[in-house]
Amino acid sequence: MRTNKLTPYLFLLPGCVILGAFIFYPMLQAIWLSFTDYNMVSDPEFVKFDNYEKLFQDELFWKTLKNTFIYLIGVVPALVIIPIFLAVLVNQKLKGIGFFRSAYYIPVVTSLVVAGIAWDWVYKENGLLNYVLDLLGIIAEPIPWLTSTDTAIFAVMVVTVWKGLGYYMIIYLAGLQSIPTSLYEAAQIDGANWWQQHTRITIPMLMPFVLIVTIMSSIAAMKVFEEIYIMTGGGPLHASETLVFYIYKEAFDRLNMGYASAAGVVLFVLTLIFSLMNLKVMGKDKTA
Amino acid sequence: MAAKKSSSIIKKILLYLLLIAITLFMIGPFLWLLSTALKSASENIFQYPPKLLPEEPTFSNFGKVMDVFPFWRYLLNSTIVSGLTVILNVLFCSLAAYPLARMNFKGKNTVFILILSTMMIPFQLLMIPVYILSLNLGLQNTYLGMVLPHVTTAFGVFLMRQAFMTVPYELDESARMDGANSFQIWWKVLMPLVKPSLVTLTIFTFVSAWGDFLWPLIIVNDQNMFTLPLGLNMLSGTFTSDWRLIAAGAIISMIPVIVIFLLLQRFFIGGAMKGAIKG
Amino acid sequence: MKKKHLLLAMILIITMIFVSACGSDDAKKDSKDNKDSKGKTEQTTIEFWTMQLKPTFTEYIEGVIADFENENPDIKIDWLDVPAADLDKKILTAVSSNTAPDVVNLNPTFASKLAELDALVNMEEAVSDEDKQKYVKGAWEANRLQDVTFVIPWYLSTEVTLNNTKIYEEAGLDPEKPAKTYEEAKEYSKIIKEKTGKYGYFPSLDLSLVLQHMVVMGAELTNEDGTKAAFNTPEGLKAFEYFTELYQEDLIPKEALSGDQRNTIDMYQAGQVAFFAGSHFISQIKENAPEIYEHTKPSEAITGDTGKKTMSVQNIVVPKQTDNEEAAVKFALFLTNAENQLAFTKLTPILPSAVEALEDPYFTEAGEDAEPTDLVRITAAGQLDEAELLVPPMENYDELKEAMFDAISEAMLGEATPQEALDKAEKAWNEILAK
Repeated sequence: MRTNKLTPYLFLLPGCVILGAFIFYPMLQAIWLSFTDYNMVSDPEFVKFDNYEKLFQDELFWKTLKNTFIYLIGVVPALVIIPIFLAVLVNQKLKGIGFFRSAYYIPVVTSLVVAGIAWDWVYKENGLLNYVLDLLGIIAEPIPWLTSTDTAIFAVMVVTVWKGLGYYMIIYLAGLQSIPTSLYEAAQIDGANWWQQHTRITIPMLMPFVLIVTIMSSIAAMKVFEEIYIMTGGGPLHASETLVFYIYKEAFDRLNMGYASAAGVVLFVLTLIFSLMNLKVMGKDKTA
Repeated sequence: MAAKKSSSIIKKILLYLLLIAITLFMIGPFLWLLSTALKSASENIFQYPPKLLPEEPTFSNFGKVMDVFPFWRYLLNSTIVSGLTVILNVLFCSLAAYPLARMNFKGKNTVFILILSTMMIPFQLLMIPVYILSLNLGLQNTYLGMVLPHVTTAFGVFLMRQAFMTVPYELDESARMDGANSFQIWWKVLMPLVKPSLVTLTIFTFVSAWGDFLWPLIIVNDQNMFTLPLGLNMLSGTFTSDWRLIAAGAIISMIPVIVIFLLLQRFFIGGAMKGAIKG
Repeated sequence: MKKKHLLLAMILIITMIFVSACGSDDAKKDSKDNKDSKGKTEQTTIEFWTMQLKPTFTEYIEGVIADFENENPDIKIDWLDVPAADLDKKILTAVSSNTAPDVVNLNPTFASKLAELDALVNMEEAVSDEDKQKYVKGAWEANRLQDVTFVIPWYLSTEVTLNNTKIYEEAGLDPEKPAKTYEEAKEYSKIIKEKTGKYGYFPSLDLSLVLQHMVVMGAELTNEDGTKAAFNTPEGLKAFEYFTELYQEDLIPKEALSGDQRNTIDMYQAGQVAFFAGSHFISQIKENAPEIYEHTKPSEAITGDTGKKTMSVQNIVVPKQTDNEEAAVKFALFLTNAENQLAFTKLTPILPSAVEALEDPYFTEAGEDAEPTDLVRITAAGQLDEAELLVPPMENYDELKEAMFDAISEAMLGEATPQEALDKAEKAWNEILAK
């Protein structure tokens, strides 16, 4: 290409200035703080690797790390795959489809503080879920979904998925618009059925968007906080406590900002590695 | 022929049933919200078993919410903050995404990864440095202070990059033949073709700016600069929390978001790229 | 052509933004200059933050501020009401950037954390002995860490049990004889469960409540000098066994383990629970569950063999970063004086920390048309003499609290016997206390 060498950087400039100042620079500061003892009141004091040593010896840290991975594994496939179906479903020319699209998007904009109460009704001992399962004869006695060490984290995952489906559906929906209809027309002439059309055209053409959804939902899953905070508070016995919840607790309940930053750096490194792997594996598309 | 027609009708019915079933799952909690907001003062919100239909539906809760805090003032603040954030974010992200998707230059992958990496650390850890920086820039108690930190998001850059990547290369080439420069190609050729993604980014940015709570709270010390979420938080006070009002407030704050969504979603029409490939 | 306009518009908007940014920058400087010039006439501005008192108490607080400004024309009060959920984050960012407000209403736990870091003014020194006498003694001494009293007490509350008389009647129990002790609570729960299938007692286990229950049952938390755990005793074990039994025999809701008071209050409002300690939820119940409110009868706090009852203190702090300590303390004392406290407590069921205010008949006599809210206030005031702060401020409090909650959860979930769990808690506490 015979573009000026400076051109790409000019395009990048405004965005990078903002990201650099408001995220990157603070991020470097957080990394520095992870090597200090900092309680947000007195000045930070350099302590070398003390925070990291303490972190790696803390059983609870490993437990929250494990929970974070369980969360990741549980939530991401659902959030990558189901929204594709939803997007295809609401991309049809049907009467009232706009209503359904909006309805599926509603969880994204529903305040979780308030929706949390509705979910309580679902998960309570005498709540909806136990009622239905009992009716179907699946369970003999009610399961305390949010206060059992076996189920709490999975119960919260459902809320995350519920809240995320519409979000990723919209990304796919945008992706679907870029697929030329002529491709489907050609396939129809070749006698491809519905399933074949989608596996041969939709999915491959959506790949750039599958990549972004995978990476975004993984990052979101690794940073999950709000749902946990509202639904279980990390309990019972830390069974649903994730890394960011742990970070939050250390930073704002115990004022160990240095230590919390160290945990944050570990989260950062893990997320980065995971995202790079994703990019490598799935990003073998045209330009990445 | 008739058989085919009736089978297509059955198909349609099944399709709608499916759509409705999913709808129920998705909007269940919202229905609870709505019914709570409509319940009158004499009704028990926490009744067991829960009642979805209000006995004497009333809109008075919505009115009350507006009296609790300077509603219109906060609405205006929220609108300004969200509007600015959306315009700048969409602009900056699409600018930055263009070279990342369609140009070759030194350090391209590094820049991209660095941009992505800004999503990977929780905001709570960045809060204090960002606050101190904003203080130094004199951004406290300003709209700009609420807006600036959010006007470029890694997600936005990423989304627009992926969108630009789906546009066939022949289009740039032919535009370049016609003597267009990079900026013109970006603006005249590419931007119109990625409208669905622009719409998506607009919606997402609006939603997050509209609902943002923690950052405005920290950067603003002047009650006149509060945004809607900060006002709504006043509804659950130290000694009170009337869930009717909280629910009504939540719904009020959802309305603009839903309106924007309804307005913009018509850009999601199958086959927007029809014919574009001819090039 | 159209697009060019759009572009133009965009450029315009961006310039406007930057202009407005610079504008606000100037405005900021202006206000600073103002401050300086005001400094010459010795006008001080006090930044005062409260925890979510708007809109219910807007008028009241504004009234207090106006009165104060009238009396002290050289001091101006800037009031900001902050949503409670994130007040801690706002105050921390302010403190870390050296821009802390001058007077703040903080909850005791968070205040003690800041006190631990020596960020709060020592009221022992800042307040005269004469002024100190005006406060209920227990309240003045409640927030003290290593001989530093880091707050001025504002209002108090004691725990009052709320009873759903309807459930009592359904179960054939006499609502005039509500559960007074842990043993009775258990007994009642059994009867209620059998007769109605509902829950009797819902003990809240969040915040410092596990520790409180243990103290009420007779356990000591630490030794005299606070260096070693002292609760691994028959009394401590009794507390662990008590809750384990309740939980495993399904006499309390499984949600008790969530450690979140929201569940307690929700279930009481749903009419699924007969009694719980919830004096400060009474207004909420009135708003959300009017019919349950009508059937609510307050009674004295449930207690153990010690007969101890708990008191909690809300307070006002002055951060050390303030430039106007004198004026700040002056305002804090004004806000918490008897007259202003009495007016405040008339608005909501809380108790004043000022001795004089407590003598008002408002806290002793129930009118004929007394509502549950009034009865809560009178019951609460009635037990103030016997109530004390059961869990004093401790360093690393949050970790201690969590270690105990984890241990009792293990026992309740059956993952350890109560004795094993107690041993574990003791070990954890000794490690934390040794720090």
